[in-house]
Amino acid sequence: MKLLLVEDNQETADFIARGIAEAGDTLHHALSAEEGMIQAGSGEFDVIIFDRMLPKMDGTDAIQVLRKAGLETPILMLTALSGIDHRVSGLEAGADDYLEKPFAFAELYARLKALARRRPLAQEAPTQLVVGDLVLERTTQKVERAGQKLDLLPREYRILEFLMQNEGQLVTRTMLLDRIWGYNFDPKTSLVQTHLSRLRAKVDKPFDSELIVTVRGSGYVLSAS
Amino acid sequence: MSSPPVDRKVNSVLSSSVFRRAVLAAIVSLAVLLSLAWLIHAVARESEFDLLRAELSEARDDAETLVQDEGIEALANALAHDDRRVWEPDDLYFMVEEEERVVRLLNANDETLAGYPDIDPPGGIIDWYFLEHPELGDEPLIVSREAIGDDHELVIGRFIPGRLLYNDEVMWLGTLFLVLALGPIALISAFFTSRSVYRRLDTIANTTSAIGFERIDARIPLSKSNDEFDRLASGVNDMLDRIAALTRNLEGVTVDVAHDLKTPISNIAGRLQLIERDAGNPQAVEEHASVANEHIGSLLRTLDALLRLGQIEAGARREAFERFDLAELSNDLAESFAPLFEESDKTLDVRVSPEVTVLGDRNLAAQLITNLLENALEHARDGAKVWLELTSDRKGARLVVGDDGPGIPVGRAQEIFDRFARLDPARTKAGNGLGLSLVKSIATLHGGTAKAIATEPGLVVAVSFPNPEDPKE
Repeated sequence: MKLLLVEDNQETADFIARGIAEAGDTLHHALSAEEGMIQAGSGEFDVIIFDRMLPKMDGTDAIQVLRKAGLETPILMLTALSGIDHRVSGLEAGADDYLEKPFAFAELYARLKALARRRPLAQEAPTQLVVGDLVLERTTQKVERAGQKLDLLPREYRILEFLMQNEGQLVTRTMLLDRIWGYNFDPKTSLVQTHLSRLRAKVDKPFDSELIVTVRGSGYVLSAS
Repeated sequence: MSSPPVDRKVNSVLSSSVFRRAVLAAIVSLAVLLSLAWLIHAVARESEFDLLRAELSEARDDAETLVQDEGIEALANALAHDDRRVWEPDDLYFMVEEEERVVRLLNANDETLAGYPDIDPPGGIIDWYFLEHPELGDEPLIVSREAIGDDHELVIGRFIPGRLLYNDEVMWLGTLFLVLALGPIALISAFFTSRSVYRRLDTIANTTSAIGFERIDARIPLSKSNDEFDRLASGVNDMLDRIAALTRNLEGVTVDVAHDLKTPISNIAGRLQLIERDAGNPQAVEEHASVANEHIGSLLRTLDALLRLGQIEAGARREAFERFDLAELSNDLAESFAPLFEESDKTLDVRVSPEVTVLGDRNLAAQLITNLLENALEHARDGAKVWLELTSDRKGARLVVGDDGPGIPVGRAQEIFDRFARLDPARTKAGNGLGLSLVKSIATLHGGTAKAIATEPGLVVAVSFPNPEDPKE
């Protein structure tokens, strides 16, 4: 991935840069919103990481300008602000995803990957998702594994669909909460874990190999290997 | 504080707005009283004069008839007094006393044919005509002077009755008395009434300024009369009690926040020390880091919940309210949490009326339902029956989450909404004690209420949302 980071805090920037370098991706760093906007306009980036609170210009204003100018690159907004309003206003400004500081690098990276993958918006979504012997038909909402029909509840179907779309990539619990439940809420209980374990009981348990793997402390990966 | 000297107090009363208003009120009522008295007097006098005018015109008509029937000489004879056609000034004594008429008949050459020759008004009717008399002085009359017969003129004068003159005198004297005597009386009574009002207000002002300095526990003394000042004072006292309670609560919350933040921070500090010590053992380091991260997570959740509480209680987001179906949201969340209840060996019974529209913030309502379900999940006993019920009527929606044990003591039911409330004294259960505080503040933000009912055993939390069609909202 080729990434642009617009962040004025050097320590945060170093933390992100180190992780991105270790993952083998390219990162350009801009220290101000103005510089970030120039770079975003000229370079071909897969995802842009935009800090919300920048000197002189607010991140949301910068994103609004970029979107008005026709920039389609996915943008993930980073913020130290937490609160019920900020997420909504960030997404309304044109950000595609929103992450509160402090965050685990794994969480950021998983979200960047998901954004980069979502990129070809113009292309039609495939009607069928296939991972190994698991087949998900989007038109009929039927799921089969090794030719055997799986009986999934609507929510389980949506979780599986999201995991398959991000095949081989980490999908974190908060991503699932954002994506599958969609409320900006914060359950203390193991809501996601319980649903995932139910899903795995249907998708993996009756079969020899496990497709869904838990990544301790962060989330899940669905892959054929 | 030394008490101010008395004369300054008097000056303060005189310069107080209450006194100025009382004086103004006294002046205005005096003016109204006088104008009213004069108005009544004028109306009464006018009607008396109307009677007098009618009397004059009747007398003139009688004279005219006499002239028509018997000629001018007959009228002149009829006007004779003591066989004299032309009267002497002495004849008038009797006239004044008997309130009789004074007349004068003139021929074309202005010679007096009969009556009193010295009465000589201009033509028409004159209300106040002063007849000069060598001994009686000027007596007021109402007179008319009109043509009679072919070329004669008849003057008829009528002494204005003494009672009318007397009424006028009474009015003038009364006015003088009111202005000279009642004016000062009004000022004095204004001073005394405003002084009592001023004293009451002064007490309130002194108490509030004392509170402004240091004595938050000072209260305004009440009189026994239960008047509007007592209502004001007891209102201020209630407000002060509430502020004092809030302050105490805030102090308590601050201590609780510090405590709740200190615990995970000490745990993190401990793990960091362990990481230093076990630097040579990557597996142990990883373990320490992972535990430290969990503590950071719980710390962040507490901070997040506090921030949300603060924002909600400041009334944020109310302008972004929209209509949504609370029934659909309740069903969706109940379905999401159903597996968790199953796994912790509890049953969740869901009874949701179809289509319950409320006006509000969908995300916050989701948080509210989540917190209620999680509270039941955490605190209800194993094997407990938990139910979620949503009903609606004209007044609005009612969301109830209840369980059948173990519950909380009856007297402490409302405490569950306090920040950092954990009725479990050992604080062994998970959670930061903010979940139900959020429920209450979200309900309040939506114009609703949250109430806890201890059912022994069991706890029922009922949240109401107002009807979105209600014009009050």
